[in-house]
Amino acid sequence: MSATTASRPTFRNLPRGFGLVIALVVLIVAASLISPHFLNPINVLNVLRQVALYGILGVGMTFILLTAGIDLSISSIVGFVGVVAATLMGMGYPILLSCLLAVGGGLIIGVINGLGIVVGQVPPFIMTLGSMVMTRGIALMIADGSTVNLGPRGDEFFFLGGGFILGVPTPIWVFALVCVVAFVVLRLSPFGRAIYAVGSSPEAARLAGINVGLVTFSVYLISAGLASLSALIFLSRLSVGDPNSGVGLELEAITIAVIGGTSLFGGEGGIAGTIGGAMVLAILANILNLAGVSPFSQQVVKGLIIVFAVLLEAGRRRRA
Amino acid sequence: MNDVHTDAKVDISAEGSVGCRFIRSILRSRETGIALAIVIMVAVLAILAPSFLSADNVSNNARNMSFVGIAVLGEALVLIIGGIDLSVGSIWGVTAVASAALMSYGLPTPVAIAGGLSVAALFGLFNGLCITLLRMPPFVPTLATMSIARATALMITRGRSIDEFRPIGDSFFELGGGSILGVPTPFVLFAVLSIIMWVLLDRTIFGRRLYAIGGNETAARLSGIDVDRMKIAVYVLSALFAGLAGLVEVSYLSSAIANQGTGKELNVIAAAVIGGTNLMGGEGTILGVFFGAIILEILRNGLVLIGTDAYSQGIFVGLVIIIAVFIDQLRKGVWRRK
Repeated sequence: MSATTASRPTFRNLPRGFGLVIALVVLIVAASLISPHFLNPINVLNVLRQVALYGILGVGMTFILLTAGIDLSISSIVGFVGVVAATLMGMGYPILLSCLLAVGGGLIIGVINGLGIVVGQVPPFIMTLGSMVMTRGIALMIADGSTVNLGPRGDEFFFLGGGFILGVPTPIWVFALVCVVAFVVLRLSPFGRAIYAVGSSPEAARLAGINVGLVTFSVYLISAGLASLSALIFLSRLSVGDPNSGVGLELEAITIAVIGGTSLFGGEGGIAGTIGGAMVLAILANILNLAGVSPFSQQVVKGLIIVFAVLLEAGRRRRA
Repeated sequence: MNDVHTDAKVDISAEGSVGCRFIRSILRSRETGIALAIVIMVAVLAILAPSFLSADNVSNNARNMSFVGIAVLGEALVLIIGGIDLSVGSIWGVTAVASAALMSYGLPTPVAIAGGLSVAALFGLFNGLCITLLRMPPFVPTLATMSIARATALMITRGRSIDEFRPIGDSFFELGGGSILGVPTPFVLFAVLSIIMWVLLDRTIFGRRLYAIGGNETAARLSGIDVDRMKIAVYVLSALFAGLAGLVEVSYLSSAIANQGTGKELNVIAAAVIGGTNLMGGEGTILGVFFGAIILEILRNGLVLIGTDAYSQGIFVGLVIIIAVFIDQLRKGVWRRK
C-alpha cells in the first residue's frame, strides 16, 4: 500500500480534474437535453442546495482521506447533533446557544475519534465504526426513538437551511465559505502541507518535524465540526430532529471525495475536486429524477458511477 | 505489523522449557482472551438474568448468531488477505430475494437455491475482477456493489415482500427454522462450515497462501503465488457465504424482503474484528471469528434481558468493538517492547 503511494509523483499538473470537468459538461448538456426543466432557475438552485448539503460533508471527508484515514461516524453525528439542537430549542433555549451546544456535542465525538486513533492506536475504520454505532445509539436515546419538534423557534431557525441571502439559498453561502476556508487551509497554510505530508508518508512527516499525532487528531475534529454544521442545516430544512437522519451519508461523502480525485490512501486530492464531485452526484441525481427513473435504479447508476470515477482516476494515474 | 508479531513470537519461544512455552502460547493466544470474555459475559448474565441460560433462550441465541456468523466466515478470508468487503449485507439481501422469487415461480428448491447463490457469486466475481484486473482499492467496488446489489433486490421485489413462495411445512423451511438433535439447524450449519473453513485456512496450501498475501502481497507474488486468482476466489467465497446467510434467514422468516441484511456488513466486520482479525491483513483465525460472532450475539441478547432500552444498545456494541481492538493493540504493544 505504502509502496504505491511513494511511487506516485508529487507534482502533477494538467490532467488533474480534467476528466471531472468533462464529466460535468457532459452531464449538464445531457441534462438540459433530457429535460427542459433542468436549466429552470428554481431547479438550478435546488441542485446547488443539494451540492451544498452533501458538499460540506465531502470537504470534511477530504481532510480525513488526505491523511489516509476514514471517518464513518459523520452520518451518526448528523443525527446526534440534529437531535441535541432540536431538544435544546424545544426546551426554550435561544437558537444560537442551542446550536453552539449541539456543535460542541458533535466536536466531542470528534475528540473521542481523534484520541482513540492517535493515543489508543485503534485503526480509524474501527474507531469511527464504533463511534458511529455509539453516537447513533445516543441520538436514539435522547430522542427516545421518535422525532423531536423544534417548537415555536422552528420558523426563525428555518433561515439557515431554507432562507435566502441576495437571492441565493443560505446553505450555498455556507458551503462557499467552508470551501474557501478549506482551500486556503489546505493550499496556503503549513497545517495544510502537514496534512498532505502525513497522508503521503507518516514516517517521513515525523522525521521532518511534523507532529503527526496532532495533525491526525485535528482532521477528525474538523470532520466532526463540518458534520455538525451540516446537521444544523439538515435540521433547519426538515424542522424536526430525527435521530435516524444522516444514515448512509458517510458513504455519500466518501463517494464525493473519491469522484473528486481524492485518494483513499492519503496525500492526494483537494477541495476543488470535492466541489466537482458533489456537483456530479447532485446533477446526476437530479437528471435521474427529472427523467423519472425509479429510486431503485438510481442506486445502480450511482454504484456504477463510483466504479467508473475510480477507473478513470486509475487510468490517469497510469499515464502520469 | 505482522512481521513484528512474528519476531516477538520467536523471541519468546527461545526462552523457557517446552511445557512453559506451550502454556505461554495458550495464554498469549488471542482466542484464549476472547473465550475468557465469553465466559465472563455468560457468568455475569446468568447472575443478572437467570432466564439467559434457559434452553429456549440459548437455542434462540444459537440460531440468531448463525446468520451473521456464516457471513463472517467469508468476510474473515477477505480481511486476512488485507481487503474489505462492504457488499456482504446487500448480497445477503439480493440472494434472499432472488431465491424466494425463483421459488415463487415454482422452481424446485435446489434450483432456486443454486440460482440465488449464483447471483451472489456473480457479485463476488465483479468485486474480485475490479480489485484484481482494474487494480481498485477493495473499498470502492464493494461499496458500489453494496449499492448495486441492494438496488437489484429492490427491483426484483419492487419494494414489496415475497411471501408464500412455498407451502407451510415445506422442507425448505427446515434450513432456518428446524433443528437437528435439538440444535437449531442454522447453528449446525454455522458450526460445520466453521470447521471446514478452519481446515481450509489452517491445514491447506490455500490457507497458507491467504496469510502470505495478507502479510506481504509483493513477497507472496514473488514467491510464485497467483495473487489475483486467490483474491478473486476469496471475494467470490465471501459473496457465497453472505448469500448463504441470506438464504438461511429467508428459510427462517419464510418471507423475503429487499431490505434483508441492510447494515449487516458492519455487524459482520465487527464480529471479525472482535474475534481478533486484523484489518491490515495477515492475521485472524476461524476460531476467533466464531467467538466474535458469539460475543456480538450474547451482548445483544444480554442487553435485552437486563432491560436496557433498545436505543442504548448501540452504545455498548460500539464500545465493545473499540475496546476489543484497543486491548489487542495493547497486547501487541507489550510484546513488541519486550
